[in-house]
Amino acid sequence: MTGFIIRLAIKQQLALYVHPRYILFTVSMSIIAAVFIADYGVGLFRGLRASKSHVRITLQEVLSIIPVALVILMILVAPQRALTSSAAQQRGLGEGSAGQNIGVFSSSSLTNYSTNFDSLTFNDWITIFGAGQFADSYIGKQATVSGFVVAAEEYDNNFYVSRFFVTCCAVDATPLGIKIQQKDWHKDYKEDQWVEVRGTIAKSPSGIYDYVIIPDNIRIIEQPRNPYAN
Amino acid sequence: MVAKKYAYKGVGWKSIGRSIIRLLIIISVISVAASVSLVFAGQVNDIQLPNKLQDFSTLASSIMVEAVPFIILGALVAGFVQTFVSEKALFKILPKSPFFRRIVLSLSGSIFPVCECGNVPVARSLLAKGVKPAEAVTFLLAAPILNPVTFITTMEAFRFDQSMVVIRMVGAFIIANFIGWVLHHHPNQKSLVVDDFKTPVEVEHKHKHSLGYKKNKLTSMFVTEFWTMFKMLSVGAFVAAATQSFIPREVLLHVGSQPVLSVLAMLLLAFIISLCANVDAFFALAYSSTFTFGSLAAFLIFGPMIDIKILLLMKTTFTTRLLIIITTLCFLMSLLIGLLVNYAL
Repeated sequence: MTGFIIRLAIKQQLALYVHPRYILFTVSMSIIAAVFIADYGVGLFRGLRASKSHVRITLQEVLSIIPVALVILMILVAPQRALTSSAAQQRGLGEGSAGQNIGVFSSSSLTNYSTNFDSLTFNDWITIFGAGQFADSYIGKQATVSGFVVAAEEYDNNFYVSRFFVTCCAVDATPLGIKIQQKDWHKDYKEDQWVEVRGTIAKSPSGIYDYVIIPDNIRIIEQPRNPYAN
Repeated sequence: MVAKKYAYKGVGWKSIGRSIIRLLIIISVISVAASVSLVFAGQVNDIQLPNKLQDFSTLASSIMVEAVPFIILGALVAGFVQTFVSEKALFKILPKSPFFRRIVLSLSGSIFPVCECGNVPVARSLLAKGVKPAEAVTFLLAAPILNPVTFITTMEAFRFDQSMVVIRMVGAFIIANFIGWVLHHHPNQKSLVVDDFKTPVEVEHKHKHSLGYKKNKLTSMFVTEFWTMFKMLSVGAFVAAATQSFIPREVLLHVGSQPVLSVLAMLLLAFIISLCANVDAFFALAYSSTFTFGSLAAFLIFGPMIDIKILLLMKTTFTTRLLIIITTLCFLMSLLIGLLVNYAL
C-alpha cells in the first residue's frame, strides 16, 4: 500500500484521491512506514527476530487476508481515475438547481471580483451563481469554464459542466455543475468527456435563480492533473 | 534463542553500519520495483471499467489512501508509547479515581490528534500498559472528536452556526464518559477484551535496554499494529465504497426534512460512511440545506464513534458483545441528542 501511495505521488495522481493539502503528510507517512517495514523485513530475513513460530492458520486469518489481496489486485489493475459522471448523478447532479450545489462556496468573497471575466474560474462562477440576485448583473457577460460533461434533466437541450468539490478525499466529493444550454449536445459530446466552454451568461427559462451559459465555443480538453474544484 | 541473544547486545558501530547497508539495499530494491511497476502500469491503464465499478474502485482506493497515513501515525504513536513510556510514568499522570481517569482519558485526544483508525492502536497499547478496558473505551469514543483538529474543522465548516461545535464536543464528552461509567460497573473487566490480545503483555526488566533493542521493539510493534489495522481497513474500505457506489442516496435524502426520521437516517448514514472525524464536518455541511440541524449533530457525534470500519478495527481488541453494547448506547444517546436539538433549539 505504501508503495502504491509513493507511485501515485510520483505520477502526481495523488490528487485524484485526496485533497492536495494531504499530499505532504500522506507521502511522508508512507516513507516512514516503508522504512520501518523494510527494516522489519530484513530483520525477519536474517532470522534476528523471533517471528511468530506458531502462526495460527485459522479460517479467520485466511479470510482476513482476502480483502488485502483484493486491495492489491485493485490497485494494480483498476485505472487511476477521478470519479465519473455516474457518481455525480448519484450525488444529486441533474436534479435541478438543488443538485448543482451552487451554495457550496461562501459569497463573502464576491466583492473582490475584477471585471476581467476571462480570469474567473469554475469555482468563481459557481459562487456567483449561488449568490442569488447578485448574478443578475452578470447576464450578458462572457464566461469560460471547464469540467466534465454530465447529462442534465432536460436531456436534449442541456448538459452540465461539472467538477467535484473535495474536502478530504473522494469519499466526500460533492458534484458542482454549471448548466450549458446546447440543443442536441449529445450528438457531439459524451458524458465524462472534459470540455472547455466559452459563452454568454443568460437566465434559464425554467427557474428564477437558474443561470445558464449559452455557448459560443466548446472544445474537448484533457483531464487536468487536479480535476477537483478545491 | 537467537532473538534473546540479539536483544541483549549493545549497539556498536558495527551494527549501525550493518543497518545502514541494509537500508541502502532496501532502498535500491524498492526503487527497482517501483520503476518496474511504473512501466507495467502504463499498459494496464488502458482498461476501461464501467462507470459504477470505476467509481467503486476510486472510492475504495481513496479511503485507503486517506486512512493509511493516519494508521501509520497511530501505529507510530502506539509503538512509541509501548517502547518508551514505562508504566510508572503513565500512571503518574492519570488520577487515582476511575471517574477522573476517564475524564482525563477522554480529553487526551488532544495528545493523539489522529483519525479514529489510528486511535485503535493507541488504545491497544494503553490496554497493554494496564489501563482498564472501560477507560480505554472512553478514550476511543472521545478522542476522535475531542481534539484540536476536529475542533477547528467543525468550527470552520459551521461558521453560520457555531453552536454545532459546542453540541458536538459536549455531547461526545458526555457519551464517552457515561459509557465508560457503565462499563466500569461490569463485573468481569477481562471478559471485554478478546483472548489473543492478552498475550503481548511485556515482562518489565529491571535494567535499561540498549537503544538498538528499543529500535527493534519499536519496529516490531509498529509493523504488528499496522498490519492488524490494515487488514481490517481493507474490508471497511470495500464495504463503504460499495454502499456509496451502488445504493442510491436519494432514498436517504428524501427523509431529510423530517425531525425524527432525519436523525435516524443520518445515524444510518454515519454508520455506513467511514469518514475521518477531523473532516466529516465539511461532509455534513453539504447536507445542511436538506437535513435538520439535529440530524447533522447526531451524525457528527455518532460517526467518529461507531461505523463499519471502526467496528471491524475494534473487533481486533474487544469482544463482539461489548461492541454491541457500545454501539447500542452510542446510537441511543446520539439519537437523543439529535432529537433534543431538533425540538428544543
